[in-house]
Amino acid sequence: MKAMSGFDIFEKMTNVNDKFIDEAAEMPSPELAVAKTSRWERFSHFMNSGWGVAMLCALVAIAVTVGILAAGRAAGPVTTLPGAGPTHPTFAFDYVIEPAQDKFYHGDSFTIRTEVKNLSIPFTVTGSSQAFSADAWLVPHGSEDVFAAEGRINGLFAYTEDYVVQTIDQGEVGKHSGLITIPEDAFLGAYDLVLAYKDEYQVFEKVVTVEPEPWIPDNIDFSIIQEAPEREEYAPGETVTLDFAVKGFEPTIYSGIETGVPLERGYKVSAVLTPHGQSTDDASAIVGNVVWDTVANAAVSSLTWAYYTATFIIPDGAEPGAYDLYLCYVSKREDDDTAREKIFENVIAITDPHLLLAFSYEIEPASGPYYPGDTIKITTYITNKGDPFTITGSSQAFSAEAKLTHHYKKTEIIGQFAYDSDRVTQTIESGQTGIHVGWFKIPEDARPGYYDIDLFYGDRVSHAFSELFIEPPMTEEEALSIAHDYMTQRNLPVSLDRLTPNASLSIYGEVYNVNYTYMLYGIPTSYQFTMTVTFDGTLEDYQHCVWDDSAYYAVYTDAEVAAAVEKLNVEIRKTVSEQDIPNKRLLCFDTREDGLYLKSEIIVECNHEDGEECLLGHHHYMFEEKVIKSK
Amino acid sequence: MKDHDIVDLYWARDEQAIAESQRKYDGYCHGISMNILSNESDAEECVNDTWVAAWRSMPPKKPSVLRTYLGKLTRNLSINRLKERHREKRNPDLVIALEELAECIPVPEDTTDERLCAYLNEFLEITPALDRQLFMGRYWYGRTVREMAPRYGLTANAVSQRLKRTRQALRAYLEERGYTV
Repeated sequence: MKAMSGFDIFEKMTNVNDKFIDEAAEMPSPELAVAKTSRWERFSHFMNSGWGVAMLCALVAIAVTVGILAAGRAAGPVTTLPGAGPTHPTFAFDYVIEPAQDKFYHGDSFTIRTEVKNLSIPFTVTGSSQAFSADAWLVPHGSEDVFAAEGRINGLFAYTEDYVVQTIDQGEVGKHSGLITIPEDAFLGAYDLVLAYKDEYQVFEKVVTVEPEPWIPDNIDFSIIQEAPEREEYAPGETVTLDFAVKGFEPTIYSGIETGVPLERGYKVSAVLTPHGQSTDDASAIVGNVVWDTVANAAVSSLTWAYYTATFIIPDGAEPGAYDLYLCYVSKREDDDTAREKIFENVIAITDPHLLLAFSYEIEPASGPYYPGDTIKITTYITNKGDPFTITGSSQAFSAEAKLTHHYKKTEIIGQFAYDSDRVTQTIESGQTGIHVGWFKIPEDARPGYYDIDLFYGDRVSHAFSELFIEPPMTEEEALSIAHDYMTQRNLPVSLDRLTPNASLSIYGEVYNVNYTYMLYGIPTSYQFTMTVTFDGTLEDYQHCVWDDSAYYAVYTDAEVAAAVEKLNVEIRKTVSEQDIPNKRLLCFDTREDGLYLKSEIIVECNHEDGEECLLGHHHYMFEEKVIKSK
Repeated sequence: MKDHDIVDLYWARDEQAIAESQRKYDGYCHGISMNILSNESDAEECVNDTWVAAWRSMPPKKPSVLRTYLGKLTRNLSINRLKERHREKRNPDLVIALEELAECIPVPEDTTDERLCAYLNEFLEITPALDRQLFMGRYWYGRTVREMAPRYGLTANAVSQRLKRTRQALRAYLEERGYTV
């Protein structure tokens, strides 16, 4: 398509908005422009500089009306006004903000460095030694009266009391710096910066923006990538190095304010190492703050992982025991509360300097759930990683003991460890490992919850491991619950491709309830289980059946499969033990007009040893699948 | 006399309205016409035609800003006069300005006045005041760069650079809205 010509555009522009036509109707007077030449040149130079371009959007400085200040409004320190009239001096203003950012929060402060340049004639002032310096303040963007604007934020500029008489030559530049603090009640939004000296001022639009404070949640949801420490045990004086990564949670909208950990806001990250179980509120409990590597105190991003290496030097006087590592998020503002989150529990153990022991354990069953009444077997391993030492004790004395301690309530479950009574004197060599086994019978009245597994050796060295969760006691119904997906595989080989009356079939389905044993773990031994496989159908469904009964019930071992197909009308009720349950095959057949179906229902019932039937714990698993289509 | 009083005179069909308009805005309108036509006698004729056009249009028109209303009349009349000229006789400075405009406004030929003005208004609204004034001075009033530079305390080069950046911004603004040819 042909483009409109420049002439056409010029013609059509006639009817743009009146205010733009009116605004440009009169150009500034030449006299005024002379005074402003250097300012604009300076401005142009600034805008053409790399920094100026980068800051273009935020720091568009607009030449403003040169007005006469009302008496008393110019809060500058100058006390002697130069002569008015044609010899009136004019000035160019410039500034730099440090830190170089344009977004601030309530309470934030920044330094503003001002420059004022005498563009015209020399003049004399009597004032402080820094009298020839611009005053600076902020006003909400668009304020008509920049001197008496509501919400004006003044700068804090210090002047000495040293009054001098100064002659300010043409081209001389006065430089000054001061502090601007955003009050807690400052308006949100963009602010214009006003620089003023004597009876001139300049407004720089939208220099800074006061942003709403991000909502800081009580619990900061940081994600942690944990990397193990080099060792588990350290002695006082040693250096501990931990690698981990931190990422803030995704910002969310809360009451219209974006929250989270904005990039530009950032939170400082630090860490403290504390004796296990002690609150970080107790400053005396903190062994020492982390010594960061070169990425120390980098802002935590909500978008990317920040990788840290934390290095601690264990104080010489540190008490032996397990220590936790807390990650601390500290807002940039020092008066903010510090949020702490435990990221490594029992991250290290501080030991006697001459007795370095490494602990580990195995637990059986290896995974939960663990219920009151269960018995847990714990095998402990303790290895001397320090110097050889000698003990006098039982024949298995170089073995860790263990106890379970409720994480919050501190109630304990003591294990049963057997020792020989022979007392011997042993030398434990470096690298030697003692292995010991103990059993924990979880009391019926054990408090549900998380338990720490504490391994200790004697009364000086202990080590706590990760938590073990003891479930609330099960009801009978819970004990008998079976996951819906416990039939994890079906195999339906089909030997016929069509179904005819009186045909014989050799077809079976297989169900592997591989999870069954797992699901029944922890059931009191006083229960027996009966598995009944029931076909759920009616005679009307089977008019084309090759067998003369509508259903049969079977739970077969592998060896029974062949025989099972010959027992089509036999109901089999089989009582199975836990060990019998896995990998049973079951068979159910059904033919209909449109094909042959494999269909079954499994009912798991329980019976007490005394024969009383459980009223609870039925589980029905239905499946139906068409395996062959009749002709 | 205030503008609304002059408008009232037009509405009262009082010929004093023309005299007052001439007294107050003759220079303004003459400047517009001269920038476009670059010919004293043609400009004078256009300005005189402006008063006639104003007399004929008020009523029914009742402009809120008399100056820009009269300026638009002068501008239209001057453009019409310019159309009558041969291309080679046009003001060279204006020709350059027109070429610059064609370069920065990639709109199809059939774009309506209203639509083009709507986009220009939106763009000008977000353009910094100084750049906006230079842009309007150059492309609405037809002023030259050399004429504007000392008045705004800028070098001619600085004015040219600012105009160029504004044109580039306008082109990007229009292209973002799907205007390409």
